[in-house]
Amino acid sequence: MSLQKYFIEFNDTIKMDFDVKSELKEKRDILLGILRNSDDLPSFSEYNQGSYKMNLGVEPLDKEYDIDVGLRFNANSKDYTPMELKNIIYELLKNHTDYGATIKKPCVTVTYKKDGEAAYHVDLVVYTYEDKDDTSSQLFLARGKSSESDETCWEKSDPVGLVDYVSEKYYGDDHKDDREQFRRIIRYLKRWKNKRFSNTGNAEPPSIGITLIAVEMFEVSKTYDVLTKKDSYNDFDALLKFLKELKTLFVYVGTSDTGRKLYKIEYNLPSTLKFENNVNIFRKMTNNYMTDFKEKVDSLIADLESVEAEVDEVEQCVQLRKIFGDSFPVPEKETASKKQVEYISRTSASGV
Amino acid sequence: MRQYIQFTHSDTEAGGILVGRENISDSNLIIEHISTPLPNDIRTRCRYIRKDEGHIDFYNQLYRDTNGIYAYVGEWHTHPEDVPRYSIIDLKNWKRIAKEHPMDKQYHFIIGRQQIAIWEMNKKQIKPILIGMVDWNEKFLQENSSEC
Repeated sequence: MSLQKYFIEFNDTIKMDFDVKSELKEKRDILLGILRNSDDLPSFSEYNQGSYKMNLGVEPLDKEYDIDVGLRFNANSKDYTPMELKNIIYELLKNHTDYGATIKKPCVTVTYKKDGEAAYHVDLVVYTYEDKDDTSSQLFLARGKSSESDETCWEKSDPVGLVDYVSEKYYGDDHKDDREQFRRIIRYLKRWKNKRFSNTGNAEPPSIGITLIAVEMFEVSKTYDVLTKKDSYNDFDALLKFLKELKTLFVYVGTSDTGRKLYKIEYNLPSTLKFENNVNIFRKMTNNYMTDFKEKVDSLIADLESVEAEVDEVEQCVQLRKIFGDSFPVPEKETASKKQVEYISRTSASGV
Repeated sequence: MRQYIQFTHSDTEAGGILVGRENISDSNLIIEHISTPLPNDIRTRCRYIRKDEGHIDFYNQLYRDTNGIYAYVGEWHTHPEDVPRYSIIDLKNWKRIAKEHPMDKQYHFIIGRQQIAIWEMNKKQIKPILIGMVDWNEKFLQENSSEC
C-alpha cells in the first residue's frame, strides 16, 4: 500500500499555516504590550503553550484560530487571590476589540474578528510563583470564573515542563523524520476529532490528552529502503497501530440506565511534572462522552481496516476522505494509474 | 455477469472482455469494466464466440477517453456447470491470446452457476494458473449491482 504521498499532502493542507501563525503573533504582541504598559499589573514573562508551541497546530474547520499564551507574573501566589490578576487583565483588554474579552476558568480570552467573523482568539493564562525570586519554584495557574465559586483556586501547574515533555519525544536532529511522523499522526487525529465531535460542552476529548498518550504509546512506522538508502514512512500503519494502543485504555465500567455499555478513559498528567497529583486529563467528559469517544475510536479503526483491504488506490482515498473530510486528497484515476498498451485480442472463442 | 449465469437449459453462453487499470504505487490491478454480449457474437448453449466489433470499439473508446490507463485484461464467459472448469477450447483460446498479446499476463473468468473461477495466463506458462474461486453467495446474487 502506498498512501503515504496522500497523507503527506493531507498534512500539508491541515497543518497550521505560517501566515496565520505570524498574524496570531502580532495580535498576541499587541495584547502583551497593553498589559506590560499597565501600572496595575506586576511584570511577567510570556510563554507560548499549547499546540502552537508544540508544532501540532491544525487549521480549525470553523476557521477560528487560537493561541495560548502563558503569563508568568513575577509575583507570589500568596500575595494575590486567583481572580485578582485575571480581573485586571479583563478590565485592560475588554474594550480592545469589538468582541471584547471573557474570563474563562483556565484563562482570559480575547477575541478578534476578521472580515466580520470571529476569527482569532488569544487565551491568556495567568500564573504566579510560589516564590517570585526563584523562577524554578512551583507555578500556580489562576483557575476560576468568579471569586464566589468554590472551584476558584491557585492550581499547581507546569506549562514549560509539559511542552518539554512533548518535545522530548524524538528529540534532536537525528530524530527529525520520526518526530515529523509523530506530529503528523497527531494532526490527523485532531482533524478527525474536529470533524467527529461537537465542540460544545465536553463532548470532545482534549487534544493534549491524545498528545500525551501519543508521547507514551506512539511508535514510528517506517521501513528502510536499500535502494534509495532512505527510510520510507508509513503514516497509515503508524496511525492504525497507535489507535489500537489508544483503544486499550478504555475500561468497561458498567451499564447505564438506558442499557448502554459504558466505558471510561483515565490518563493522568505525567507524575514527573509539577501538576496537581492524579489529574485525569479526560475528567471533564461524562461516562457517556467517554463512551462516545471509545465508539468513535472503534469505528475509526474499522474504517481504516476497510481502507487497508481495498486494492484500488483511488477508492482508498475516497474512503479516507469520508473519514478525514474534504482536505484528504483523492487522485484522478488517470494520475494514479499506469499507462497501458493499447491492445485487445481481436476475437475470442470459448466453449464447454 | 450475474445476469448471464446459465441457470436453465435454454440459457446460452455469454461473454465479453475484462478491462482494468493498475495503481502506479503498488501495481494492484482493478478490473473496472466488462463488455457484455453483442448482436454479432455467436452464442449457443455450449459455445460463445466474441465476434462483434463492438467489443473492440468498447475497449478503444475507454482507452482513448482516459489517456490510456485501461488495459485489456482478458476474457470472461459463462459455463452451464456449477463449478466452472476450462475446456480444451478455452485453453487453446487463452494460449493464442497469450501468444499474440504484447504484455505478459492475462486473467480470464469463467462464470459458473455456483462459482466464478479466475485463471492467470502468461507466455511462459503452459497451463493456466488458478487464481481463485469465488462463490456466488446469496448476497451477491441478490445485490442489484450494475458493475458485474
